[in-house]
Formats: sequence, structure tokens, C-alpha cells
Amino acid sequence: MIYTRNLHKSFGNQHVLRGLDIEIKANTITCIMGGSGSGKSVFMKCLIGLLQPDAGEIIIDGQSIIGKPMKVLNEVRKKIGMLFQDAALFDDMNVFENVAFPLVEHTQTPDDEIQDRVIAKLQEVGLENIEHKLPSELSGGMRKRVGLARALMLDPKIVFFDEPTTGLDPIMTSQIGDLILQTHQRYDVTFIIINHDVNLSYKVAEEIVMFDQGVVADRAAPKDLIHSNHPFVHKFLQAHLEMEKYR
Amino acid sequence: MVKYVHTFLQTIGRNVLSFLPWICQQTLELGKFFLFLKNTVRLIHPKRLRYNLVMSHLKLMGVDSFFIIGLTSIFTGMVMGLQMGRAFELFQAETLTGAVAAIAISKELAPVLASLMFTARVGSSMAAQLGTMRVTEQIDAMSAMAVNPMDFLILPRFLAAILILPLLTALFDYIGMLGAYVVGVELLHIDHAAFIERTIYYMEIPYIVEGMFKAAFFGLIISSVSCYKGFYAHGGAEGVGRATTQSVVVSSVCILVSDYFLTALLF
Repeated sequence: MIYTRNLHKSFGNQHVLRGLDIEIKANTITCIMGGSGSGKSVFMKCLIGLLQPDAGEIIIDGQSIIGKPMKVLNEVRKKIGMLFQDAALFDDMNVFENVAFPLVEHTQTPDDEIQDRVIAKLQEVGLENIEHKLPSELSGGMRKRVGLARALMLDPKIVFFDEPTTGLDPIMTSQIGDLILQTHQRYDVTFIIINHDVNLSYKVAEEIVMFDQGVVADRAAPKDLIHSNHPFVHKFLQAHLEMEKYR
Repeated sequence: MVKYVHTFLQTIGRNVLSFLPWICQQTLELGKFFLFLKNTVRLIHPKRLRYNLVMSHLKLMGVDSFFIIGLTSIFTGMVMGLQMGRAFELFQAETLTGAVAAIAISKELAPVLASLMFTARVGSSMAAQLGTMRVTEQIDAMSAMAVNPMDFLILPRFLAAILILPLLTALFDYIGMLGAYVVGVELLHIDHAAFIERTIYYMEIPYIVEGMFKAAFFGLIISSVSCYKGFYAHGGAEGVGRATTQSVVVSSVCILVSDYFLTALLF
């Protein structure tokens, strides 16, 4: 489904991605974890075409996206939904307009059908009767849910999540984890989740990919990752286990 | 002596060299701005234009600026009437007050002052809104949804500013002249008929058109500078604040500088 080879990206003297090779299978949930500055967000922005890599190849659903015109890139983007870290809802639009945005922009769907589909999508993420609220009137968890509803609006083949539980309390974090699992069961989609939250990754992921200094340090199923010999992965998980002791 | 000359030249060389990176950076910034402007202008096409967004920005920019433009224009006209009336009184030519005020307002004061107020009221708001959208990833989200943010966010603002500023300038002309009339006729007791007759005699339609043309050009400056600064804002809340301030300062300076050159070259 997603395949990258020898991906490089630098910002000035800072070499963020250093020859990243990764393959993500269709209809799986893959969590990408790593320390701050390990290149997770840059990797995701390269995948969605928000950043152009300096070198390497990216193939999404059989289509190479490097050096392609905007028209081709936009066709690939329509197959992708993205939930940003703070949901990135448009401040000047209400919830309904935010969720309807992809449909309004890319389809000729009649207004009454848009209305029905938006309400149905909001119900799927556990929200009702908030269509006329502005994003500033929503809690962090509700914003993420609205963001997810918007990301799913065009029935994408791939959904990216950029740190979906950052800033949420443990109950809401758990609920978002459940929502990710439920949504994945409902649709045949590939979920790629970038986060720091080991608990969430162990809860939802079929595979965890660990980044370190711009390359893949290790990748394995959650139950196998704990046995990793890679020093960074070992240190990362040990640090998490130590924190768990104090709970 | 040779040593002093050597030290002097070294100091000059060092200072020049220290300016080089700044000059390079500013040149790059200017190039980036003109590319942004070119990309915006290239998007203008009747079929892809979002008329509803242009209309909505016209309303926001026009209706919401009405009060501040009205307030500025009435007092500008009043002070013009007062100063001109007192000055012309010295050589018994006070009936020319209306004509001189009208010409000054329509050719210079209306486009420049309306544009400066528009920069403060609308330009800053554009830069702040787009800057906030940039730092909160809303612009990235739009791109990720395969919607061109230049099309959706920049072009409607750009066109709306160019269209509405001449109209606000015409409004400024009207209210400003009214202010001059009130002070001249009611306060300084200049003869009403002479005031009007002289104003009509000396005032010409091209003066108003000149002011409106300038205003359209200033609208282009304000919208392109403010959108550019906001669109490329970075660095969180501080970055948005910086972009907003820069948009107002750069737009204001560009308006005043370009006003001279427009007047000298075209009118």
C-alpha cells in the first residue's frame, strides 16, 4: 500500500530523514514511534506531499508521488484522510462545514445528501447535535473526533493520525483508541498512527515501527517489540516500563 | 598614517561584509514574494474563481471598514476645510476652500488615508488569520484534502481588496468633502453658493478616477503583502504577531513610497 525507498530530507544542516526504507501493508494499523526529532512528522508530511523529499521514492497505492504535478498528487491525496495533532479544524467554519468540506470541494453531492452523510459520520465517531458549534466551543477530545469524521468523509483508503492522543486525559485517550479500532473494523482502510504513546500503540497496532535518527530502528508486532535488540528501542520501552512502575 | 588607513578600510570592509547576509536574505524574501504574487495572479480565471468567497470578503472588508473610513474621512475633510479656510481668508480667497479641499482629498488624501486605515483594519486581520491558520496546521490540512489554499484563501482576499478599496476611497471623497463643506460654510461662514460653484468649477472627474486607481493599486499591495506574511508565518503565536506587525509596516511604507511614484509617473 505504502512503500518508500532511500528517503532523505534535510533542513539546512539538519539531516532529518537519512535513507528511510519502509513498507506498510494494506488494511493494517501501523504505529510509528520514536523520540522527538526522529523524523516521524517529516516522514508523514513527505507521504502526503506537504514536504518534498531531497531524494528517494514514495509509492502510494501503486502511484509514485515524487516530482509529479499537483493534479496527480491531489488525486493521491483524495485517497488519504489525515487527522492532525490538534485536529486542524477550520476556525471560521462550524462543525458541519468542517466535516462537509471534502465532500463540497470534491464531489457534486446534493445538499440534503451532504447533510445526511455529515450527521451519519459524526454519529459514527460518537458525536450528535454539535453541527452548529464552532471548533472553539469543543473540547480536545471532541475536536479530534470531528477531525476524524472529516478525515473519513471521502472514504479514504489510508488514514494518517498525527499524535491523536496528545493533550488528552487517560480516559479520552482510551476512548480514542477504541474509536480507532472500531473505525478500522468498519472500513477497509490502512491506518498509520504517529505517536509517543506506548499504551495506545500496544492497544491498537498490528505492527509498530520505531524510528531513530531518520531511519527505521526496528519494526515488529507489539508483543515481539519488547525483545528488540536495538539499543534505542530497548531504551525507549524500558523508559516507558519504568514510568509504568510509578502508576 | 598607513596603519590608520588600513584600519579604516578594514572597518569599512567588515561592516559591508556583515551586511551581506542581510542583503542576501532580503533579496531572497523579495523573490519569494514576487513568486507568491505571480502564483496568485496566475490563478485568476473566471471558471475557477470562488465568487461566493469573493463576495463574503467584499462584505467583510467593505461593510466592516465603513465606520472607520467614515470617521477618518469626516475629520480629514473638516481639518482641510478649517486649514484651507483660514489660509485663504488671509488674501480674501476663502471661496476656493471647497475646491482645494476637494482636489486634495480626491487625488491624495482619500486613497492614501483610506488605504492606511484599511491596512490597519483589514491587512492586519488577514495576516493574523492566515498566520494562525498556518501555525495551527489548518493550511496543511487544506492541502492534505487536495484543496489549493492559494485558490481558497489567498485569491478571494486578493481580489476583494483590489475591488473594495476604490469604493471605500469614493466614500472617503464624499464624506471628506461633506466635512470640508460643514466647516467652511457653517463654521467659517463662507458663502454656500460660492463654495459649491468654485468646487464644481475646479473639480474634475479624472481627479476622482485617479484616486480610485491609486486605491486599487494600494489594495493590491495590502492584500499581497498581508497574505504573504500570514501565509508564510512560522514560530507559533510570536510568529503570528511578527507577521501581523510586518504586514502593517511593510504595506504602509509601500503605500507611501508607491504613491509618490504613481503620482510622478502616471498623473
